[in-house]
Amino acid sequence: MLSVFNEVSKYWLEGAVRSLDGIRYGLRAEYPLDTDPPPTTPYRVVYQGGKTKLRYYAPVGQPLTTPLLLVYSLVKRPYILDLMPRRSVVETLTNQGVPVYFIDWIPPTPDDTWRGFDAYLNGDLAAAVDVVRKREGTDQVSLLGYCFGGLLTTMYTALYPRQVSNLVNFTLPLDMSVKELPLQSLMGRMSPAMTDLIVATYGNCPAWLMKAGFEGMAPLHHAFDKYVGLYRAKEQPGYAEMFELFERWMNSDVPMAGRIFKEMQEDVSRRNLLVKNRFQAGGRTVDLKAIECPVLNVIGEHDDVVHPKSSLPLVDLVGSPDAANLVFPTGHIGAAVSSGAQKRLWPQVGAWLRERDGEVGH
Amino acid sequence: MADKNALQGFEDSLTASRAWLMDLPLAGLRWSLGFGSRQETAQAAWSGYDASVGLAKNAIYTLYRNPVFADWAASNLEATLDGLLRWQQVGNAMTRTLLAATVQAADLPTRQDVASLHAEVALLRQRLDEVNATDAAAEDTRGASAKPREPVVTPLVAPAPARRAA
Repeated sequence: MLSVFNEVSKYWLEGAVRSLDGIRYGLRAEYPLDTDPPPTTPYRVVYQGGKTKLRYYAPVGQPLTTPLLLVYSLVKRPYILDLMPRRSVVETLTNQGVPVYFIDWIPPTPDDTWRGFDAYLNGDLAAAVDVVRKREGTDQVSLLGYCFGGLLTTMYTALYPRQVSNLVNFTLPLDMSVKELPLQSLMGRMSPAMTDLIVATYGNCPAWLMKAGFEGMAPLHHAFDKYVGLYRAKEQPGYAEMFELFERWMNSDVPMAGRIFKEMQEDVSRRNLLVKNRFQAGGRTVDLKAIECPVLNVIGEHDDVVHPKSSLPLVDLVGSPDAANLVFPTGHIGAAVSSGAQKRLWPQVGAWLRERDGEVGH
Repeated sequence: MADKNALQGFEDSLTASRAWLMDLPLAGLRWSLGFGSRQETAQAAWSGYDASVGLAKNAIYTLYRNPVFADWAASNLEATLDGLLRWQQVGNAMTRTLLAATVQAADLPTRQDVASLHAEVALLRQRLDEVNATDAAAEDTRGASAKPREPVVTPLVAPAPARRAA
């Protein structure tokens, strides 16, 4: 009994150090990108501009003609999608012949508070899509968005339907009227004055605030249960290594640019404008009906960050005749890292892309 | 979803009660009497732990979903954040004022001064490189056309011994 307590305490202390390191990094004016672990899948940075570094991962085997641009969320570092061998979305997709481009968002500095959806969509994402099209000599790209990245891909596809061949999202937080989960419920209840105060004080939404929000959703898990879990599973091959990497990612919170935080909070979350086709980015209305390309909406059945009910309406809101939900028995992060998802979910996504490869038009 | 959670909560509470009140004491007793094993006792304890944590998580989840609690939590969070952020603003303003005053009083260079010095040094370095490159090119041209120069030998002259005062 004493040894359990001692070991769990040791893990807890190590976790506390990791957490403090994460907070410290998030407080710096420039987030230290060199704290990322080495990549699992080799890549080359083929473009850097605005707040993006565009990575290229070469396909293995018979390549698809349409490249895939993976758009990660803006809230943590992106290495969760390439965490370790056999637990990497990038690796699974490239092994199926998908040429993968990946947007690594550079965390905003105090000079970037002005950056809103307009800057990220019409500036950075549009530039990245252009680079991919030029490099690959194609008219269109497929987009894959994870969580908040899914919001960006969905909005981009609605704004630039001719540039997108296929749209795949996973764990997309779309309908914010769904109050099944604490984060959505709390965000919806926060007053506009509070958002203004956060932005007025810090410029950007600080990383520690995001971290507090995410960890507050599962306080018992983060306080001690995950350390007990590590104690019980430490003998399993690879578990401790995965736990370490995963925890590093959990503590890799980055700030969110002030303006996009405000727009997300007010327009997307509180007023639910995206679902009502009234959201505006750079003076243009984002009309989901304009999305006419094939759409695959991957949903984690046990997702406790984005409730499945929040993602499900996408297929009914888009104008595409080829839109489907793919509900997989996993959680929000399990969809990216679980070995089950690598064996059964991502091969399905790869096959879906291959079936539609080379179909130009819409 | 709500029914599923309620059912899960009920199952967890049953499992936890059974593990803590029956299985664990029984396994402990058997182990102490030499019939059972340590592993069996540990298994009963972990099963109780899992069910208890599951129950607690479920309770928190149910609480979070309760609109009355959510309103209460949101208003409390807002009040706390409001106070925290306003104090942060006061702190920021004080730090800025104090720093500005210290910089002025100690005649320390400002960030702009340092930045302009950096730029100036970079420019000088660039000009030095250019001058060096021009010199090297000129030296090469001269070297190609002129005869190799004899090395200049400066004869060593021993210093004259200091004259003693008479």
